[in-house]
Amino acid sequence: MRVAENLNAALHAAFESNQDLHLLGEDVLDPYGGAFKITKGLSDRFPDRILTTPISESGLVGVAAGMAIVGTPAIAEIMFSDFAALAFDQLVNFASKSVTMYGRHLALPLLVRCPTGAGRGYGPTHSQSLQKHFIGAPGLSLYEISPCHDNGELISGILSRATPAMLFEDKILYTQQMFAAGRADDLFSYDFPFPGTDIARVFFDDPDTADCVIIAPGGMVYRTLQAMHDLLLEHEISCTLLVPARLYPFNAEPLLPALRKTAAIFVAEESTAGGTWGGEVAQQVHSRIWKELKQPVTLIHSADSIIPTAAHLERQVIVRDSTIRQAVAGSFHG
Amino acid sequence: MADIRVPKLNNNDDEYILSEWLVGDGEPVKADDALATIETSKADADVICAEAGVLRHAIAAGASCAPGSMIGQVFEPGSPGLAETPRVARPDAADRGDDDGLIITAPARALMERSGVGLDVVRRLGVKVVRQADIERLGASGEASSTRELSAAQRAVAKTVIRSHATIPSAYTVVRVDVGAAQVEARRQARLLRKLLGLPELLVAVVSSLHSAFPLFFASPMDEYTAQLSDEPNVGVTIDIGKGLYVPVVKNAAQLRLAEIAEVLTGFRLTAASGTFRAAALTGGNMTITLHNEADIVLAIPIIQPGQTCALALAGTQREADAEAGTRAVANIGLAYDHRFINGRDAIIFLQAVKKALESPAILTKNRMPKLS
Repeated sequence: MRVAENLNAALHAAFESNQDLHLLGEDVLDPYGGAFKITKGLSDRFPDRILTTPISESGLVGVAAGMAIVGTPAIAEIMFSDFAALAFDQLVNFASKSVTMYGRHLALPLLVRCPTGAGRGYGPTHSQSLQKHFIGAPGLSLYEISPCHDNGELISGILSRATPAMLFEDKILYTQQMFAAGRADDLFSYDFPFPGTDIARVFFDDPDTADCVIIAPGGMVYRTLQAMHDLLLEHEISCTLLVPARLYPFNAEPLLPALRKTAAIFVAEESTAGGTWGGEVAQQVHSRIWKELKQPVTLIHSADSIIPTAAHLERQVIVRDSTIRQAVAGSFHG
Repeated sequence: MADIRVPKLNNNDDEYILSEWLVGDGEPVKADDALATIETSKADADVICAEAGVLRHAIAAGASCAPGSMIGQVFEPGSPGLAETPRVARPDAADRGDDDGLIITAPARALMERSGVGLDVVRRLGVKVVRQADIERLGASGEASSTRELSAAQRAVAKTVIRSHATIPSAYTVVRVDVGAAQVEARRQARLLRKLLGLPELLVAVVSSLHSAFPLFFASPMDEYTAQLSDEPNVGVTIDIGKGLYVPVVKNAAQLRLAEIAEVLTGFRLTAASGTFRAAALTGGNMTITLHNEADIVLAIPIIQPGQTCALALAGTQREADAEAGTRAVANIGLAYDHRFINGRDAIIFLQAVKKALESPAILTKNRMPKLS
């Protein structure tokens, strides 16, 4: 099943099980069903609870947050996550603060969905990965879809926690397959070996003997898997990939036993350089097990650049499987 | 529902490789669509769809398949069999690719080649991914070793040679030809036609012109005492530029102008250098010319391809003393022939006809001037 179908089914299931749930967004009504068809079929089945809005991210997120604060769970879709910047104030100053600002903990079941990332030639303002700008706002959680994590569980979990959350959805990942039955592909398996976390592990053979660990959000999984294939078959470097569904708050503590055993740790993400999520992860690892590491955590991310529209230029900026492969092979072969 | 089966593409291989699916698993197909590319030890061929429907792969790209084996099925759209037939594993872009799913890393593969460790041995290791350390455990040091496994192409050559020697009682006769006039004519024609043109092209033209006068030389043995005569001369020419020996066939060579023969042979050389021959280019020959026309090569005895009655070998051009002209250019042209169908006398007459034509090549090229159409 493709990731987009899994996500669409997850939304259908959420609307079936929760009679109060609403969704707001631009062009989300059928028959169009949203720019990426993730909301397809919802407005036909739940016409009163799917609201199409004007092009105003600040407005639609503000309305959704207002609904959530009075107890109506709401999902907002931002057609391109670049424009979550327009809703920054609503998320950081209103929604996330409202959880604690009124003297008691307030449930605020708000989920802002954000189609994210490059690879489609959409240019500088429709291709970004802006997760890093929302890190560190108390009360705001960041999630990312992945081929490992069933979106049904992910979305019902986020809504049941009833705190403001953003869900970043890699646009290329939409068209790719969900992993199933413990198999990432014919060589690599996946599991969830860290109790109490949502971190998936993609591994080959015995993960305890892997040469290195790569930590990456869901949008990076297929690229990283390709790099892991090549590294294993071309260089005999075995990698284990760790994929958290929740990017922030992120707790590295449960991973430390696995990280202590490995020769090298990498964090791969599509964000452009500077102030990245990987920097946050690396700092946590460094401060806890610095003396046990053979080398510092290596950050892999896109270039310090706007994202060009022309495909051949976009490829030079964005993290690809070859970027990861070169970073890992380079750290082993010098 | 119809099975897609691998056609028999040659006589040499017991199995081929499905190198590429041209239509994806679960995709609709029309009759006469090319579904997949099959790679034999020598050539690529397409598998064609017989009827319209939805294709379901039965084996993955890169897997091996025997002639006649089922590689996929075409279902009617929406038929229950389509849903019940499992998809094959997603083939991977990475370096996989041995017949039974055995995956060998690049360093392990390099060590296998250096040390002559074969696939059979590695298969018995029973590991999912074979690494360099696994090969080292087998005792392979990477130092030069006394054994080497043949490539698939060379294994096919070996099979043909063994079969030729086992089944064809051959004899051999060689004639010395003054090629001075032919060389002059070849150079003249090359300038005129702006084609790469030399003795091999002239020899193809000469030999094909002898088809009607010497039918047994272009025949195919059916049993010990019967040969099937051919309708037209299809002349195979050996091409080996270091990437394996190929014998592509100049079809109906008697109908071709010299410029066309030159074009065909140039095309063969380019294919040998940069690509893969299609099966059609390598089949249908009923006479073979083997080229040994390098400096100082005096004599070569070709093998007779099973299914043919003879083969010619063109040796290198030598200078020899000549009472009248001082020196002259000569080349030895040998004929290996199946003695069941051709006797020494026939061979001599045939070789003398070749010699006569090559020594007065203007007649030959004049007859092959552009046809009126």
